[in-house]
Amino acid sequence: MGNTYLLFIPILPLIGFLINGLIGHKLNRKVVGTIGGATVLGSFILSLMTLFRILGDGNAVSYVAFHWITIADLDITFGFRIDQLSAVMINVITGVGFLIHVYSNGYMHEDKSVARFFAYLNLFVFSMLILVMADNIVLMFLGWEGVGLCSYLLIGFWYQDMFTKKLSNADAGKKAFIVNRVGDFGFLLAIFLIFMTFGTLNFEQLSHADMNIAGGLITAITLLLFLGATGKSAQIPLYIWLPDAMAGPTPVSALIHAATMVTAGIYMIGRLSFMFVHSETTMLTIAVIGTLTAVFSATMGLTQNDIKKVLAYSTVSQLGYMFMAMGVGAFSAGIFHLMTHAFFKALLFLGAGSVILACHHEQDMRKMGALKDKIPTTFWMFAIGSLALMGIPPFAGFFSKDDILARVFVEHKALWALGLVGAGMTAFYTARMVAMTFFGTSKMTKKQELHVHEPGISVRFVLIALGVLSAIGGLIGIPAALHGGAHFSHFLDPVFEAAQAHQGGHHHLSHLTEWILMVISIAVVATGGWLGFDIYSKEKSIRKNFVKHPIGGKLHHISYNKYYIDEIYDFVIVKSIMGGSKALWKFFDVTIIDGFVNFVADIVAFISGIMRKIQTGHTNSYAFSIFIGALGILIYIASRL
Amino acid sequence: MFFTLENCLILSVILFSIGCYGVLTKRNILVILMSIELMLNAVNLSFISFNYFNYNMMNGEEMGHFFVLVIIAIAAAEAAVGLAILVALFRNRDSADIEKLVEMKW
Amino acid sequence: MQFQAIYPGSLLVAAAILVLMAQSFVKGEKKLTISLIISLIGVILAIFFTFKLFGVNESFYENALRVDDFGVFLSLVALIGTALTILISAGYLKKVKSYYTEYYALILLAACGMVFLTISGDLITFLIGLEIMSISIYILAGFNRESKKSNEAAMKYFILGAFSTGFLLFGMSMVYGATGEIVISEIGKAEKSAGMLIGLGLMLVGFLFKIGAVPFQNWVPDVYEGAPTPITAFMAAGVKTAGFAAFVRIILIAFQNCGEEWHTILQVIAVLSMIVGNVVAISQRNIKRLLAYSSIAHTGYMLLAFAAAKSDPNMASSSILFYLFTYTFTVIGAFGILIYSGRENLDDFAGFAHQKRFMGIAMTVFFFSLAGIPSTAGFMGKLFIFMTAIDQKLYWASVIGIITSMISVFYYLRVVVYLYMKPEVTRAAPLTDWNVAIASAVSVIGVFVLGLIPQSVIQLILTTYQSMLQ
Repeated sequence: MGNTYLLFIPILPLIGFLINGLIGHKLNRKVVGTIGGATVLGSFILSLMTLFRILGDGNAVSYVAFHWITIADLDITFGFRIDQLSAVMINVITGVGFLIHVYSNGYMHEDKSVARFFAYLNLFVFSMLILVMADNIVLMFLGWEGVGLCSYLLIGFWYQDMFTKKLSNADAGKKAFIVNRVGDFGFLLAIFLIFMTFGTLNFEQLSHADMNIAGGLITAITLLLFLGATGKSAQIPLYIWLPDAMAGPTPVSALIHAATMVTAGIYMIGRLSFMFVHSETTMLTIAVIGTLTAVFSATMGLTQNDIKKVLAYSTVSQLGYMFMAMGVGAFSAGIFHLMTHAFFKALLFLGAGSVILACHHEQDMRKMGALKDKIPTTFWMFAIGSLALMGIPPFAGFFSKDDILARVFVEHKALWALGLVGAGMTAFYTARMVAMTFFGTSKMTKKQELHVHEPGISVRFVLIALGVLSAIGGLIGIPAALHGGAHFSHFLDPVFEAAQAHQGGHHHLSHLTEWILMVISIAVVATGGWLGFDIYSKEKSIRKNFVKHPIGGKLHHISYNKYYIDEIYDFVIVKSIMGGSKALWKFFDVTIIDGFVNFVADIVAFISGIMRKIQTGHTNSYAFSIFIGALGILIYIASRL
Repeated sequence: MFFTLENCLILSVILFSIGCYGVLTKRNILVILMSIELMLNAVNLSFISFNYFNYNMMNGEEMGHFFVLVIIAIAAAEAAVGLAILVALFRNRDSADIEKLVEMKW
Repeated sequence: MQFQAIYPGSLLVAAAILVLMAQSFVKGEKKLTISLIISLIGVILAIFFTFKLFGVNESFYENALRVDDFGVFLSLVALIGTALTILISAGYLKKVKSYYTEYYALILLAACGMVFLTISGDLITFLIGLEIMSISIYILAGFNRESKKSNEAAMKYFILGAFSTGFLLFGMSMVYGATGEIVISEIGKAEKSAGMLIGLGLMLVGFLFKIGAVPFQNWVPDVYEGAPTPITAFMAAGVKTAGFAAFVRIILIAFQNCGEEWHTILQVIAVLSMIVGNVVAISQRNIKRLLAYSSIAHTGYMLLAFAAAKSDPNMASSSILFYLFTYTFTVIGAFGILIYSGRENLDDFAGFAHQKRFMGIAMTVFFFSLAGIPSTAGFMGKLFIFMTAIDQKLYWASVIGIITSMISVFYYLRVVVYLYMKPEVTRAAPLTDWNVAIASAVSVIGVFVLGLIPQSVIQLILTTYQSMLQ
């Protein structure tokens, strides 16, 4: 059976990009949207076909379009290889991508340059597909750069706003840019080192290569790769661009900055897992950085008032969990979380998008509230997404997160504890977000309230579709302890065979331990969620009215203790933890990391400003420089005589 | 014996250095052009003395001399072009001072 | 056979004479058209006859010419650069309303110099080729006689060029004195001696000046900025290609026994060039000047590969050749757009892509290629360079190279940001000029072909080093 059709998976979005990019501005906006969506749908169907083929016989499918570069023993092809891992990825990318294209049709219907938007989106899908389908690391790098570029273009999509808004989109783009340069530096250097060490860049050949090389070379390579991954997947210390990237249109945040591009780093580690497991240092680094990011950005999420910022920090934190999984060698668990996260985070972003639209482009949660009954579909879907994010069974996030935590428990107890704290905080800020947005009293102006409406039919369709996925998507990975088949992990086994063989198989937890862990994590999550919901759905104003009311006063007196507890909440949680979080955010995020990035940029610009003064304009001084150069060379040569 | 390869080379280096010094320090473009001529002539001297002292001209080893002829021709062409550029420059600026050529910098 | 070796050069001279003669028969705008056609035909014929020289690999005229695949390939690159330069020049001359057709004649003569430079077999041919090329370029740089900047550029280039030629010649005389030879391949057979080493040092000064490496780079920004834009493109593409051709040949063949010395020197200079070029480019707002600094940086990348030539001359020279080929398309394309738009300052380019959609796309492609974004030619070129360098264990230089090339993406992409993401400045849209449009289209195709399907070119290049040795 010919595999030529694989070529069409990325080619279709590319065609969409070319049509929309070149002649899109002359086409009807409906045509533009249809082209954008239909091409991705086509890819999705082909991806599903591929997936079923692999499900059928378990063999990877590959196709080489042409030989890109052949020099002596180096052969870099323009070729694709779809194994279980990339099959999951392409289906997530095209599936979620298609839904987001549909959503964008409804969401962007007012925008002038809709053709440009869809062109960029299609180009993004193309690059992302290349990234995950590539059978060698150079082609992967092509996709890697491509997605970065599209992300950059889309963050700055509303460039007209750049000059008016306080935190300008241009700045956000700049930060994303610098951080990704640092990451790319690591990735590129790793590519060259891999070539030098193994003489090949093909994944298939690399997986058969002898990884037991002397010295710290393998550690250096994997650490550099990980540096690349931290840039793309927003981990400490290179995460700062992601919250700022929320300046782009919401569908972009959903597709690029939640579901797909930011997971590229995870995918890369999974793809090269056989290499990573050979360096314990790197694995430990990944696990620690992942855990730190997970907890740290969860604390950041606690205090954000911008609904998209909450989701952004939450994304960083969830990515941290994925890295945590990769770091302890639980590759399939990480990929599983990647998939479920793509579902529910896309859902949350798109839900947030319709909330924002409903509130007339208001993103501040303090100015929302009581939207529950006004936009019920959005609310219910958003709630499903939130439950999945918190990790409440049986929603998707529960199974994947639990899987990760169980595996981390085996390897590092301390990291597990931190991860658990992070899970609690996740539940807290998620519940807080839902409470502030949909419950309590409305804080909108009258004019805004009149404006509130459910989104269009296409948007609702997408929300429901993602809602269903978030609700049941985790069922394919039910662990054995719950009498499930852990199908997902078995499906991925062939990919991680080599890595797991090196690790010598992991210690299995007894079902009892697994049960206990599960109960603990559910308890922590439930507590966190209940606290968050309780504090933020009943605002002070309600309480005050309650006290003044004659009957309510008595009731209030009866529930005095309850009120007292509220005060404790207020003191312990709001004042100290939240205040601490805010201070931490201000200090670390704004001062240190932002400051550092800006410092690097400034210092380079400063040096540049000084160095250009070498160019005095005086011909004599130029001649003098030539003379000095000649003298330098001659002195060196004289030293060799 | 005064007329040796070493002495000729030393003279050549001295001439070259004088030319070099002129390019580095002089402000008048004409003087700079002359200094460049001096450098080229130093090279000629070096070529011809190498050929004269080290290689047998009767035996077909006369490449050094050919080289000198080529360099003389090239020096003439360069001088012509240099002066032409100088004339164009002088018309625009009424000055042959190289220190004033600083419109473009940094 | 030996006549065929000089066909391309002679054809170019003949075309130049024809252009000069044509002036007496036609006047006004027609003169421009006729000269353009003659020059294009001349260059295309020269390309054709150069192409036929592939696989000859022989020396002619008592070793004065050395026709091998290496030289022929670089001749081709230089001639393709010339053809593209002639096309963008047509647009430029129309824009500045200049009717001096000596311009074309000088370009053709410079191209003739380049051809001889690439296939020179001894130092005299090399010198003559170099001077024919340089003298024509000196004049061309000052071609806008009324412009003070153009005068200044020509004068600076001339003085510094002649100054560095002095060093080059002095080095040659040392090499001659030490070996008694002027034929490049014969010099290579000589033992390493003090005279050879001093000659190497002095000759390096001349070479490094021509290709614009630090600390011999100072002329580059000023001359690039002041010279007429098509000539700037010509310098960046043609002169650099021809300069590298002679440089690589003489260093790899004539100084093959002094590898230890030039290896170290070139490595240091490569690092300096990459740093200075990329860092200073950040603070430039004039795009011609920006591209000048970027050209210094690109020289640095090529020198990095060159430094690796000590242990792996084949890969090193191959990657330099490939890089020069990619750079020719990219840089001429970029300057072509500058001519087309009639702008030089970064701020004037705000929103240009919305005014001229296809030109905006083309400019994006060129700047992506300069930045080394994958799928463009520039990426392929950099990939080879860094692979070669790291393979030969030049770790620190390579790391600095990768870091600076990451920095460089910033200023290249800033241009693209201005093109697309800044509100348009209200400016009259540029006039359509088909010559420039054709040159840009060819360059865009070249950039993508070399970036996506470079295989046939690579196969050709990989044998060039062997051809030099035969």
